[in-house]
Amino acid sequence: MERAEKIGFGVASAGHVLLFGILSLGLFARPQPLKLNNPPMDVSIVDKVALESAAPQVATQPPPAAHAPEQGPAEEAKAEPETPAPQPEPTPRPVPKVEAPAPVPKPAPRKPAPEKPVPAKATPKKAQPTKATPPKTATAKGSGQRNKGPLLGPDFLKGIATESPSPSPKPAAPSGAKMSSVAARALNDEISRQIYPRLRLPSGADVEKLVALLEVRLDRSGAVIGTPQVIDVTGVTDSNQPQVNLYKERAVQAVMQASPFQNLPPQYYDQWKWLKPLSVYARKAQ
Amino acid sequence: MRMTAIGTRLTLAALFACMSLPVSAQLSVDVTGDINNDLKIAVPAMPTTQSVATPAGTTGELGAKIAEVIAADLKGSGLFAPSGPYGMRTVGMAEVTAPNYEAWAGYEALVHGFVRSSGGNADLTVGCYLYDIGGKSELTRKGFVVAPADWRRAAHKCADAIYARLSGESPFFDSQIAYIAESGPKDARIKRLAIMDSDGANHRFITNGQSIALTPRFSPDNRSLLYVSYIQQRVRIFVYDVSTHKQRLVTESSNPTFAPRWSPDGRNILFSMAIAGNTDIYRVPASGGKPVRLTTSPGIDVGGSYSPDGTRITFESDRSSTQQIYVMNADGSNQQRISHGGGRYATPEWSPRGDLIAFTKIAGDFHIAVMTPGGDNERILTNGWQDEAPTWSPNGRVLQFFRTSSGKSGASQVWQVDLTGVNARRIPTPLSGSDPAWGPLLP
Repeated sequence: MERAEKIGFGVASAGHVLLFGILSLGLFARPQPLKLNNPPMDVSIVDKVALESAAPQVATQPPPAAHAPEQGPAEEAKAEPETPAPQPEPTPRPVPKVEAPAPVPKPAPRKPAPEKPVPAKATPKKAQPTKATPPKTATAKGSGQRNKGPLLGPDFLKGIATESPSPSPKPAAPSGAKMSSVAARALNDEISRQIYPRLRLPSGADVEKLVALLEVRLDRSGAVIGTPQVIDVTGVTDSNQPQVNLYKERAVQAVMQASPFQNLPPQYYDQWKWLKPLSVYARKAQ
Repeated sequence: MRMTAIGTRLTLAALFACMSLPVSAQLSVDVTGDINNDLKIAVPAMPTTQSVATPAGTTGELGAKIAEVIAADLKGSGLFAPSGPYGMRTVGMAEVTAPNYEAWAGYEALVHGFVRSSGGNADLTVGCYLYDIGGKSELTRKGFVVAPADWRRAAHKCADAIYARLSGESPFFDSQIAYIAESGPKDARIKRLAIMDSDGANHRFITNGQSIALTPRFSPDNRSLLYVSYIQQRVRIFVYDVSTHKQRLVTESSNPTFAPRWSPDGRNILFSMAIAGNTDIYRVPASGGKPVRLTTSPGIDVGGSYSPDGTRITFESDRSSTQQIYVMNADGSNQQRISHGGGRYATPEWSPRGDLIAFTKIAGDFHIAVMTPGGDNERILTNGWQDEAPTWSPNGRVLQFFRTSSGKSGASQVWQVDLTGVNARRIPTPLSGSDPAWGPLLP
């Protein structure tokens, strides 16, 4: 047993290193054919960069199955992106809730699910696009656009990017699939709208230059898990230094008071469960 | 064989676990909040354990008066919207440490406290508590023991504690202002040195008006005042001891002498003196002695103000043909011009925080403005017809200055503005006022 374990771990480690190397080298990256003659197309300008852009998605992405009403939050789908089983059956809503009883504190998926060796082959390919972190990072930096907290209704995502008439019900469609940039922006606005009225930022010289960057984790009910962490504060000057701690405190307070967040679409849980950075800007009051 | 199978399975499992590691997506969210200049604070009257008589009134009366001063201080800062104490529900002693949050719905913060005394001239004990109503938590608490006559100081100290907790800034309410009280016609002004609390209370005159007093400055230990006195042709710089009411001569000259300033350690005094049309800045020991000349350029060099660490001095000079602001080392070396915007610049004052220099910007009208010691980020804070001679609050966040009206009287008043530039207000003085000088925070 011990020896087997050693061997197993040895091979596993080697496999990790190998895989990491391969992925780093981008050997699996498919060369993008260069197309110089792009036909004119409609462009809608959005100020946010989402996980993926809306337009090209339609062609390549497996449509997330049109049965919106019951699809529900595919439970823990994040832990098994390869899910060979066709579709999360139209299970009634409450099911996923029951399924996640304990591991509230960390959504960190640590379920290896070793019992499905076959699809593992296909997995790397699948996992890679999800892992396409670069666009996400770009999103994180954001456009610096300041939102005022628009007045959106609870159905603000209705009709956005979720619909896909494509008949081919491909297997994948994990719960938190991809969002269009428009949907991401709507989500941003909805969260922003709920925090805004709770923000009471301190006054002082140069306070409007401060930006607090928080990391917030949410559970499926929209409640903040633990306490939001302040990753960084930018725009600090000699003049606003005294307000920095207070600014952080007020930002965290506002997020906590807004918890649990309402109206967040469960099917996008994977997208909104981890808010990073949640950037808090200040605007001079009139 | 079996071991190999297990090993393989483990390997695959590990590999699978690695490959299937769900890379959770992060969502970036931007929220813009308003800077809060109207935090609603309830300041009900402070209860007393037992109402007893003191020279300043009963402890019950003092509970209401202290709350009134706290509310006024907070309102005067421009950062808060305090209410009370009058018209508010009565608070019992038990509530002071266990507030009834529900009863204060509609407010964001709550000030509680108590006044206690054994009566007569015995000291007052004033408790001061600040609560966050939304969070139902205590934010700060302080206690002060003062003589009955100093009850206002206890109120200022309490307001300071609240201000510091809610704004992040250092306190400044419990401090004094010296200024020049002016009366009489424009061409025969009587100018007297006067001091008062930072809110205008406890006003008193220091000089009687026989001499013309100008440009006072509190010493760093707050015990004495430096000022210029003119009697006919005699120009003298005095240091007046506030507690003993005695003054001593620092320097006397038949040459025009003006704008004296303390060094941060209180050991030296800068002043400007004009000799044969050439005005320069001199340094003299506060205890008296031989002045040392720090500037030598032809023209007018005037009004040195030390950086808080005492290593540099900012001053005004017209050596480049118009009034501009310069910075030099404390020994007069390395003189550099830092103002480069349009218009003229005068009366620079280094912030006690060191981050900014305040000055009078002359561009058509006179404005109060600030910039960094490097000359960057110039910001105009006031928009009066003639605003001049800024002086910093002890925390370096608020400025007082005097504003002269454009009417025939040419009367001037002391005004205050904070660094955001949006909270300007007049400081009440019994007479017209000019040349305000803010003292350090009282101990």
